[in-house]
Amino acid sequence: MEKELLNKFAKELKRVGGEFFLASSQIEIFKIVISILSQNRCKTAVISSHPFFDSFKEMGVGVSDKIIFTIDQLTSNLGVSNYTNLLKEKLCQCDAGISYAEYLIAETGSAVVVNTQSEPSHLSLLSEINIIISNSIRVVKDMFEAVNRLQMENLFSSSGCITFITGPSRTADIEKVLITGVHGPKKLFIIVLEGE
Amino acid sequence: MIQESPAYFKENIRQICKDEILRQIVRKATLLTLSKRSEVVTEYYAEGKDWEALRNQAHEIRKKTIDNLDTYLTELEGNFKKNGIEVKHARDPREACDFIVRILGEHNARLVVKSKSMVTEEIRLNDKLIEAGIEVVETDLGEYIIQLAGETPSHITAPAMHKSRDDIGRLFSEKLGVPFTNDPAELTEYSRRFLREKFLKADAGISGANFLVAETGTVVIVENEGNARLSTTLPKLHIVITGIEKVVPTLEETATLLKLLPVSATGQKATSYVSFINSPARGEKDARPEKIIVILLDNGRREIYRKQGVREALYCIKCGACMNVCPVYQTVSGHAYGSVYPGPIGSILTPFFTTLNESKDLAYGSSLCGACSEICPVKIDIHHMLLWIRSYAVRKKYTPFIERLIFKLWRMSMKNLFIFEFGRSLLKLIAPLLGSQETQLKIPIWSDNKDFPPLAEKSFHQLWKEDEVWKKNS
Repeated sequence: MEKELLNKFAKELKRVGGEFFLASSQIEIFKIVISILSQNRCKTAVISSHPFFDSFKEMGVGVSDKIIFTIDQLTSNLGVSNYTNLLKEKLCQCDAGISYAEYLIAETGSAVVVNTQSEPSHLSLLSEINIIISNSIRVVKDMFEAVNRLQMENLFSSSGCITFITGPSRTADIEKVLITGVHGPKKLFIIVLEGE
Repeated sequence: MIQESPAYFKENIRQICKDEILRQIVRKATLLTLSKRSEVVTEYYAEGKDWEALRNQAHEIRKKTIDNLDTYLTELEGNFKKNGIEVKHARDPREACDFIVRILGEHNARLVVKSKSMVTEEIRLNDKLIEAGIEVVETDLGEYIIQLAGETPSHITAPAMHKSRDDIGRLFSEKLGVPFTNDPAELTEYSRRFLREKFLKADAGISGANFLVAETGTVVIVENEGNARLSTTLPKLHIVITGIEKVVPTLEETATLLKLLPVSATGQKATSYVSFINSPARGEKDARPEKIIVILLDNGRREIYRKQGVREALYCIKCGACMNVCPVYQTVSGHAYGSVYPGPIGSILTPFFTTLNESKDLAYGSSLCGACSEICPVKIDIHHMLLWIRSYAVRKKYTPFIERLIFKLWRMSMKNLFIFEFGRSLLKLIAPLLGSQETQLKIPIWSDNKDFPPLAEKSFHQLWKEDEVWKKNS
């Protein structure tokens, strides 16, 4: 069942122009992230401080890594006054944003990102490349299930903003020609950690 | 020159019908969207799901909501406040605009970024902001094109549908000083670069809302470009303005509507982004807006609510499918209507958002084929409501006196054989005086566009009486 949902998710994601990766360990996720970054010539990336990424520290993220920065690193020397403005500017300068998805929706190939202070919505919005990472047990059937699970976990009251992301940003405003990459990311990569 | 008033509907049509290129662009765009929609609906059935059942469910949700509008609005308002979102009611466009200008003034906002919102078109917010010395920038690509051109949207989900890529290329090179290109990808890239700067500098963001969830106090915004997310998360102040009918009781019911909306609007199963905004920033290190204000606009909506004949029009989730499928819209395109909301649903809403007298002609711009009602994701009985608007205009005596007189005489004669026969003979007698030798009647205005059929030698009634076969058999 889980496999079926995951296959459906991958199919729908590809349909909306996203790229799908399956990883069997945190280390493999890290390797995929690095290869995506180098293939897209990203010099800097910023990663969410979601607990899921704690193990990335062992791989140098947030410590010795010179490409992937944590939000804390990015903001370590920003004062409280004008903090948010400077943060946004810094995030804009990053070539890629790495976020965590609380759920993946199989029916539509969507990722559900619950935005918090450690997972600002701008991570999945300002850079040209967006990498979203999640767990295969977080794949749900459809939007109904996603909404119900979010409600059960009280995420609507604990998060200021929840975003359903389906593919990179797009437009068809000029003669209905589909263009990906308008104001948000031009490319979307989703990496799913299998079986945990 | 196309007039921006529904009172000029007929004049506008006459003009647009001569514009072959425009008609071609709009026909292609609407048909393309329709075919993408049918693909998804077909797939839906192939997967064993029932699209019709989903429509019925959505209809019931909207009916329940609108019938108990005030209950849900009260719940919504309570939950907004709990979440730290301010709520303000506005009766009409003036109240809404004045309030927005005042709020922006209090926050010293000089630059405002806007994500696509039909309600802001309805209240003509941009004009009022410019008057107040505030720079306002549309950020949806279609809206941005329209703003640069100094025009109004011609479709509620595809505002620049009427523009060709050459038009847009020329517009960008003229207004933005970039080299001419008609490549949609390059033009899109220009808009990204120009607008990113505005997003970062903006003091406030103004958006509409697709849904307002009562049980959680959530603003739901559906989009593809990312501009709504940027407008609602980068500036310190976020103002939402939307109609009171956008409320939905629960999240689960919102999910039903979210399934129908993108398929009906653009033939997508899901749009790139759906934002559920629950509260302003929490804490100093939260980069989201410090303040969110929701303005709930009435502007004639309660009047629609009170009229049972058209109440269903408030079920509308603004997908624009009825426009795409309408043979009249496909031919005359959005600007002909001279109203903010064009097409079939626009012809029902506009009389209440403006005045019935100036917009009564819109409801006649329909062949009553019912395609709009067939495609509507929330099953609004659109074509019957168009008839209702027509009869409403007659009852209010907004149709020409002579027309009402003709129909009165017609009704009298249809009820009384003697008057009918008398009228028929009279018509036959005077016909040659009014028309050509073929006794073709020339009735002013009516005959401009169609021929009056020649009068038969004998009436049906006479034939009936004379019919020998009939007599033999009886």
